[in-house]
This record gives sequence, C-alpha cells and structure tokens, in this order.
Amino acid sequence: MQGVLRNPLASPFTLGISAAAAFGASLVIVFGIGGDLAIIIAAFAFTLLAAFGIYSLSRYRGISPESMILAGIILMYLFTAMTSFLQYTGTMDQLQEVVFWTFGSLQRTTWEKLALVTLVICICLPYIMLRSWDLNAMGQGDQVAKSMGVDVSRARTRLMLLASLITAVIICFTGVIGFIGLVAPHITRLAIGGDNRFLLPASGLVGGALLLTADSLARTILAPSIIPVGIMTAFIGIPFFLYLFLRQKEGYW
Amino acid sequence: MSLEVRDLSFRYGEREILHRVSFAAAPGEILGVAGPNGCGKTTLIKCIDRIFEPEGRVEFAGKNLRELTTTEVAQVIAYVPQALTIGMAMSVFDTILLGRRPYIRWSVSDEDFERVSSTIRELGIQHLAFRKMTQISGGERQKVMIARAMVQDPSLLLLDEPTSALDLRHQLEVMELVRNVTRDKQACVVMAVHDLNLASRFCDRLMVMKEGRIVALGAPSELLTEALIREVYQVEALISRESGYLQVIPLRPFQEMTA
Repeated sequence: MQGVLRNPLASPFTLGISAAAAFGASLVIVFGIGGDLAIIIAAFAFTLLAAFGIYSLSRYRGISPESMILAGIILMYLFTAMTSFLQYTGTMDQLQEVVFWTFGSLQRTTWEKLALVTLVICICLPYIMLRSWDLNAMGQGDQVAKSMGVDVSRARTRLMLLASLITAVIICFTGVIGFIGLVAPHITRLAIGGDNRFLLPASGLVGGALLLTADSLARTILAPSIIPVGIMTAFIGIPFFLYLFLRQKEGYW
Repeated sequence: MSLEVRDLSFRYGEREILHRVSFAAAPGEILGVAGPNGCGKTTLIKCIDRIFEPEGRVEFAGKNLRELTTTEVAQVIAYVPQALTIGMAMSVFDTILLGRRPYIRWSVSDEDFERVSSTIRELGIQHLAFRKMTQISGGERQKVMIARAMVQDPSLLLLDEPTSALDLRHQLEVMELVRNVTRDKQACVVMAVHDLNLASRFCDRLMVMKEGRIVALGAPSELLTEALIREVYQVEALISRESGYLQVIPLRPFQEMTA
C-alpha cells in the first residue's frame, strides 16, 4: 500500500480499512445478531465496503495517491465515530467484547481459518508480484510510469483492492492487529532497499515474524494472563523501528 | 521514422490549451519547442506520449499511436519530465533499469543488464551507479533520467526542459549527450526549452508557440528575430551573433505605446 500510494504512512490502519472491520464486528456484537461467524462475516463485508468506498470516492478525483489517502482518512473517521457510538450505546459486557476485538488476538485462529487465509494469499500474491515492476515505475511518479507503459489508474486500483482483500480476510479472523502493516514494510525497506520485487514478499515475512514474536511474548510475559497481541506488536515493533529510523542517515522517503 | 502531429487540440476543462497544432519531426532531428510559460509546451509533450488523450492525430513511423497498447507506446517513446519525483531511495542503477520495463515481464535478462551498464558507461556516470538517487545532485539526476529514457530504446525522445535545473557545465554536457544520441540512433527528439540561446545552438529546428498555437517554425537562426521575441514574449531584446552563436539578450519588458 505504501508503494501503491507513494506514501510512507499508508497502511490498512490509516486508510480506514481496519476501522471498517472494527465497525462491522461492533455492529454484530452490540446488536447481538449472532456468534463468531456473524462477526467474521460482518468484519469482512465492511472491510470490502471500505475498500470500494475508497475506490469510488477517489475515482471522482482521478485515482491519485492523494485522493485515495484522503478518501481513506474520511472513511476511517466515519467508521471510528460510528464504532464509538455503538460502544456508547452498548452494555458493559458488549463494550468489553468490542474493545477486546479491536485489540486483536490470534487465539481464535484455527487450522481451517489459516488454510483459508493462505489460499487467498496464494491466489493474490502472484499477481501482485507480477505487477511489482509497475509498482517500481510508479515510485518515480505517475506520469513517468505512464510513459513507461504502465496503466497507472488500473494498476493502482487493482493493487489496492487486492491488498484490501488480503487485509479483510486476515483481519476478520483476528481482529485489528495494528502497527504491523505500517511498520513491517519500513523495517524491510531499511534492510533490503526499495525494489518491490523483493520488498513485497520480504515485508510479508518480516510482518509474520514480528507477529509471531509479539504473540509468543504476549503469551508468556505475564503468564498465565495473555496480553492482547495488538498491544504487544507495538511494544516490540516501535523500539526496533526507532533504532532503524535513527541509525539510517539517508532518507528512504 | 518520423513523427507527424496533425490538428492536435487539447482542453483542460473549459480552457483550450492546444489549438489545432500540426507539425512533423524527422529522424535524427532535435525539434525545440519554445514559448512563454503556459503556452502549451508541456501539454503538447504529454499529448504526444498519450499521458493525456488529445483530439487529433499523432503518428509515428506511419502508425497512429492511439492504436498501440501503452507498452507498445513505451517501446517507441521515452519521456523525461521536468519536475522529477524523487521516489523511494533506489540506486542509480535500479532507476535506469526501470527504463527496461516495457521489455521486461518479471525477470531481468542479461541483455537488460548489459544495456544499462553500457548506457552508464556512455554517459560517463559509472561513479554514480551504486549511489542512491537521494544522494546525487540535480545535474546528476537529470543525466540519470536521460539514461533511463535511453535504455528504453526510444525512436522518439520527449524532453521537458532538460536543462532548466542545471549549471552551465551540466547544461552543455546534457545537451551534447542528447545531440549525440539523436545522431547515433537516428532518433527523433522533441524538446521543450526556455533557454533560447541553448535552443538556437542545439536544436535543428525551433517551434515557437503562444497560447496553444504555433507562431513560427523553422531554423533557429532565421526564426529568432527581435520582432518575434517582442510579439511572443512581450520583451524588447537584442539578437547578437558576436560569439559565433546566436544570442538573445533581453533588455526590458515591452510596453505598447498608448497615445
């Protein structure tokens, strides 16, 4: 997403995609419509809705990085406000469940869910990888990319929708686990450079490793109580990121 | 393989930027496009490269460019924009390699690497090859961008103010580079240019535009007169040939006598 939008702050978090998932989940929890399955479906549906919302809003302004980011931020505030409203109207128990969902957790993960996530990633990743040259070209500016034969609006739209789809599939099972989508690409970029052919799969691996470390620590550090992993990812990621950020003198953005 | 532009018009909302512009450019020729700010130079270049979709016809080597795919256009035309986005900190080598994108699907062939290396040697920028784009100067960056355009193997090179950000030495180096490439590869060059002195020295023909229309088109030495400068730029100027090159010396803004 950072590459597609040429912006170092882009992530599912900042673009309202996570906020939409949280709203979907809250909706089900507060109105008590159904169980876990309903939460998953609602979170997934609202995430896709947000992705299409970003897409249709930015279409009016010509699929530029700026318009997509602004559309994302608008949606993020909208969904956050609606989630807060639901929390305000909900009971204490519901509130607790909503808050817990927004912390994110790997506890409800099962092998079946993992298989589904893997399947979706296996389908999307080859296309994204194939387009990594276009992404590299877009890093030089839209018009340069166009002059090198990239259909910029189409590439940006498709890559954004695919990235959102992958996010949606993961987030609807785990809840919002912030920070990784923002920081893993930065950590990877500082380590191996900005070529998207290598950056994309490597950030996936770094993100996974970060999450695994965070989760292992979250389970053990205050055992037997388990710290929500979303809190832990930030605690672990920030010092590491800060170290790289301060050590690297040359700007990567 | 020559470029032919016929009745090219482009509007941006209500405003008409280009009005029925027609001209041709021959292989091995550098065609300069001059005129005051906002006269449509940059728009013209972007229309030729299909970054904008104009009305009218742009043909290259007898083919209508609108009927080609974007990748096919990119194999024919390379474009070096004026304002450079400094994207992610890629190395100079990787940036130039991007120019091979119209020929690459995913993996980079030995030929691609060879083209990049030989272009870097031709331009004498070996010492920059593994520096980051963010660490080099504006003049060096411009050379890298031209190198990127060159590895694209274009038959038509579009340059937008290639020397505007450069010091005197880099201006000459970049222009000589462009001229040599044009001669060697028999490519066509269309170049937006503000500096009339540089234009008269390096362009085979000059096209002067005002308000989206062509005012004059021909050899710079015949074209650039004090009367034309006054008409197009509203500036009183002196044309001097003392140095052996044609030089335009602007004196003062032209004020029409209202009496």
